[in-house]
Amino acid sequence: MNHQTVRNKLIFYLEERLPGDEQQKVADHLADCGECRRYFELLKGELQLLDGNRQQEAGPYFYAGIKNRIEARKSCRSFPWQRALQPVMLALLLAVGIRFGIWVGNHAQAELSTTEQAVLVPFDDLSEEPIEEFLLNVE
Amino acid sequence: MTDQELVRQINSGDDKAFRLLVDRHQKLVLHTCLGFVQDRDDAEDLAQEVFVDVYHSLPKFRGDSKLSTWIYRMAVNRSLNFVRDYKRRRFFQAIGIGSSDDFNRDVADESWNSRPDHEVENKQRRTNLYHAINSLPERQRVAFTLSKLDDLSYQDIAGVMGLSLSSVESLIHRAKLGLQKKLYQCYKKGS
Repeated sequence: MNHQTVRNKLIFYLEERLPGDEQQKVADHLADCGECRRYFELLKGELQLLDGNRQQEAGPYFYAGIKNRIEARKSCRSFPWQRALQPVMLALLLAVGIRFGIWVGNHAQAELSTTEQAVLVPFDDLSEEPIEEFLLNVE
Repeated sequence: MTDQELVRQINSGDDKAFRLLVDRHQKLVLHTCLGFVQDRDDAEDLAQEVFVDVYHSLPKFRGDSKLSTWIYRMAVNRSLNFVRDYKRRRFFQAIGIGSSDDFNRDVADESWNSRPDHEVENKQRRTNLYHAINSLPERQRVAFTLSKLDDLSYQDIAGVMGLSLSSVESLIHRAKLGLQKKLYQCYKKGS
């Protein structure tokens, strides 16, 4: 058996799920090959960590925690109008926001057009003060 | 007391019956959650949430399957949702969106300071192992977790997952091969 074949069978070897002769061949290979044995030990250690989970017990306040959560959920459910009101409030807020945006837009537009008019009125300074008069006044 | 009687009594508002149900099944639910979630506190929170779901959904339990199978299914679904949310949170943290509290907590949890060496090593190995398990395709991960961590029979796993026995056997076989491969990659990186 080559290294790759053995490595592919190690997890099944650990669980003793290989047919008898294969189980023996892998054992023989592990006895001779240090590299595969090191990996086998690592794999064994990793999988043993999972066994530790089976010894875990729930904490002493486990049931009390469940009851608290149930009560908390019940109190949330006792105000169903809150849940119904939420989307209505959101829609209302959205509508107010849009209306406000339109108002701001219109207002800005009105201000802009006034400003534009003021800027756009041409100031004919020649008619106000002809160049000859200007030159005469220049000292 | 049979499962059906227990369910009937809980539905009629008997708190003691619910307590009995929790006592009977808390270990299996906690172990299932621990199979998906590395952190013990998270697993216990999840297990409590599963029982809250069970409490609220019991009136809908028709008794088509065993009560334990039904509870297992809820535990698996809750755990998978938790893992998906966790991955999503990690993604947003990685790109810099979301609260930094969780991220800081994770960093603190994985700190190697103030821990004895063997604990640090165990933690690192556990992290590698869970990383390898969580990188398996979802159905393989569920089947493997239920068989390895909860010692469920293949028949029970088939019931929980709603699959045929041969599909479960195939999933677990592939999961073991995949896990072995991923752990070997970790081993090569480490050596």
